[in-house]
Amino acid sequence: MIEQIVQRLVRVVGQRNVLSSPEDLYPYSLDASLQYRAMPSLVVRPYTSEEVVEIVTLANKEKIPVVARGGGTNFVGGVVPVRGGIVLDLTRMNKILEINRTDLRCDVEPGVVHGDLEKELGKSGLFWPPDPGSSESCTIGGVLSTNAGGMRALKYGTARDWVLGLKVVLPNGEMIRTGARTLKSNVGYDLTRLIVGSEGTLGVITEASLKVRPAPEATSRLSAFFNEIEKAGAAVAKIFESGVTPVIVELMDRNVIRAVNEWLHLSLPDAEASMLIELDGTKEEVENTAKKVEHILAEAGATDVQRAASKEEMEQLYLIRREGQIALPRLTGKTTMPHDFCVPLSRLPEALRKVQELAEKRKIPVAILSHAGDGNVHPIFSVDVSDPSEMKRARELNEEICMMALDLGGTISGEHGIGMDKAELMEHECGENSLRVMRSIKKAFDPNNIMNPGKMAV
Amino acid sequence: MASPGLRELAKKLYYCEHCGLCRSVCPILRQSSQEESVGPRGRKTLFLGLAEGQLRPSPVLAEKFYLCTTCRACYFKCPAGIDIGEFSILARHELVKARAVSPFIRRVTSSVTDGVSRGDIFGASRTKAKWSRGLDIPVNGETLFFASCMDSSMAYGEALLRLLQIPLRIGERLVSASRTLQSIGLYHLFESVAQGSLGFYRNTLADTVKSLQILGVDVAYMRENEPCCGVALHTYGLVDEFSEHARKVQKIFAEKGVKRLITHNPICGAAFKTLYPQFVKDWNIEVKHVTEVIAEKMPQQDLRLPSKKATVTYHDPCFLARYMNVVEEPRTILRRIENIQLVEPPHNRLDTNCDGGGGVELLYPDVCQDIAESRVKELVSTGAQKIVSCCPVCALMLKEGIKKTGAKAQYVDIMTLFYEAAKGLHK
Repeated sequence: MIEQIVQRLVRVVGQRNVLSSPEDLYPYSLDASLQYRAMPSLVVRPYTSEEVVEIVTLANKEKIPVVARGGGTNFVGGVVPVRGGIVLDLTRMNKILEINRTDLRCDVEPGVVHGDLEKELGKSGLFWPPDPGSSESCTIGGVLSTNAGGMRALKYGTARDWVLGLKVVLPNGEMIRTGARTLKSNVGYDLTRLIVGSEGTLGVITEASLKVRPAPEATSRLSAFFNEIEKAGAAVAKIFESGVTPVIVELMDRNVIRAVNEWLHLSLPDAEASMLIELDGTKEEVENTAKKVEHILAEAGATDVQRAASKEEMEQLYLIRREGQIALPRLTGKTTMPHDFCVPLSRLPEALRKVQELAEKRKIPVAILSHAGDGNVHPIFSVDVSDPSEMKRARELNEEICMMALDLGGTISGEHGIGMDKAELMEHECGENSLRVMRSIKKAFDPNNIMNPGKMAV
Repeated sequence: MASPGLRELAKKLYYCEHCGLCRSVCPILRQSSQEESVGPRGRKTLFLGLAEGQLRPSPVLAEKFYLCTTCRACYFKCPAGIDIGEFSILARHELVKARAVSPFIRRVTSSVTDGVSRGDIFGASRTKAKWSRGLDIPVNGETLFFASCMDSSMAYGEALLRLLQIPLRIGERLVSASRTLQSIGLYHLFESVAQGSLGFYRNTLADTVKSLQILGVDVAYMRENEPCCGVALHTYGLVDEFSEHARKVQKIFAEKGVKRLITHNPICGAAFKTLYPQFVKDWNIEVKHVTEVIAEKMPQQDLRLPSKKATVTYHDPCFLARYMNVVEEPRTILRRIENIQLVEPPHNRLDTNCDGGGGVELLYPDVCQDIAESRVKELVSTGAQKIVSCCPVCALMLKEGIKKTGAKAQYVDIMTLFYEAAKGLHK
């Protein structure tokens, strides 16, 4: 049976693009969640939308699961082929089809690496705002399927806000186009926004028209320290009240600062939080708002407020954010696992304190990076992945943190999504009825449940 | 079943966050179609599979680990500081021990073992000192110029690479047979096959020593008795053999009272500087790359090339930049030559792009030559007429890349360029 299927797939994509040896398959058994693993039966690597149509049609007929995969950088087991089947590796479909400066649009295939697109757009003075941390290795297909955000999401929103239309191969093998290639469109149900963030459960994105914008003329970066997390929260509120919307407001907690100090032998203030702010706009605008923000930070009780003038200084201010992620695993000797939730801004200081309380109880070291401007928090767990009891405690802690976020009026995921990691928590957030609607949508798209089964509780 | 030692080593890989940044810089991956099993992150996962007993040693698995130039681009990119190249070698070690490598790799490794023990990886120990004829270099001294068999005999490497281009695996068979040919004394034949390029590699070494002599740096050279550093053993996964060989080499140096080594070949230099301290107890020989010595001793007055003004670009060899940490010294040398304009390629210094060397160019000539072509294209995009570097394997690959791309640029070793400019100074 499998031999026959392999033969048919080989006819579609060629021998070398159907992988079936254990050595070729094994690296597709995991993603950056690192805690879920499952072997696919086959990996198929299409080059065109038409090939995707043929593969999916065959899979649907034979009821074989299909897991679309790009850079494999998600944190929630999103591309782990938990029910086996075909991993559809889309990294060969990596062409930027068009960059249209006048229409403020670019058309791309799903396997384009985010960082490569950013570079190409940069050459035309454009940018696409979503900026996931894995920019250099994640693909646009993945960014869209997971509705990724990033630091700039504060000012510009997530992937969903920057996509105009899609070409999608449905689970039955039909190809549809969603949305339009215009900057506005108001026609029927918004299938584009439904498919963006659906984590590969509704179809395979084979092309996307993205909304782009001219890159800002100038950016400025500021950093500050706070002795109390509440003061940091108040400062963020004051900045918004003043009419300024920064591009980035990042918060690093004491554990991150300490790790950087220890790792690099620095003597950064032993504060409760360090904050990084970035502003963009015209040169004049940036200069004025930077002064305003400096003033607000000082008034809110920040210490060591610094503003970067040159590119080198900007890099320097990024130090804690950048080195924090490097320092943590090396100091703890453990695997760092970034988790994700989001709360209303007013509840952020409370949420940060509660994370630490819960972490202490479960005895899992947790450091916090937060996109504080939009209430999105990433508790970074340090865990020994080879110790089952520690992993169990880590999973329990993650669950408790998510429930805490819900209690504070927040959400269990700001940007990482659900995948396998939070499937069981879906109902807590969405409620039974909402989940039922989602499941009927899934059924309408994918009656045979072949598209990324076992994810998102649908 | 994997050894407990391997499982212990694999623990370091738990730091890996699977972020995939390494994928963005891997030269092998760039030439592939991005499949996950190729490149550093894939090799990490495969290493875990091997260590945890999920994957059995096999030639297919071995190929994944041998397809790595150990250029360290991924190491410098990795937030967790993991050197996947090191794991490639550990895996090769495991797979060679399990005899789970292809017959060709087996033949190459046995040929290398034999060559190393006889003082020349290409088996050309009888001719390797020819470059020093006519030069006045003592045999004994505290500071040794380590000429390296890769440098002195790389013309044979070029000939082997040529042979490998013969289709239908005939080339592979000839390469496999080369050891036998060498041992029965047919190296004379090789001398003539490699005629065209022998001069280049031999002159490079001669120019290096003459340059040192001009600057008053006294060096000795062991000639035919110079041992091979054995780095190729390590590269191919023969780690135990390397360890044993390194101890022998240390003994030879100790008996001769060697305190300092100056190398031209950064691969041997890197072995002495970074591997020997790990494998040999009490290794206390100072190791310098010749460009470090030249840059330090170079006169303040500006030097001129006898020819007209030249635009040159400098290729940082991975082993010099990312293992020996030498990036500014070659540039200092080039900047002091008045009629040279130095233009930097997009990828330079620690961010250099590998040119496909690293010891696997004979195992995977096609992939490695593609890498060489792509690096040459990048280097000539600067508009340079000369591509300058200082590594015999980079010379081999870049010359090959120039030929394949038809680029209008010439490969010149930095020491030849320096000697040309400095020979007028005094003797």
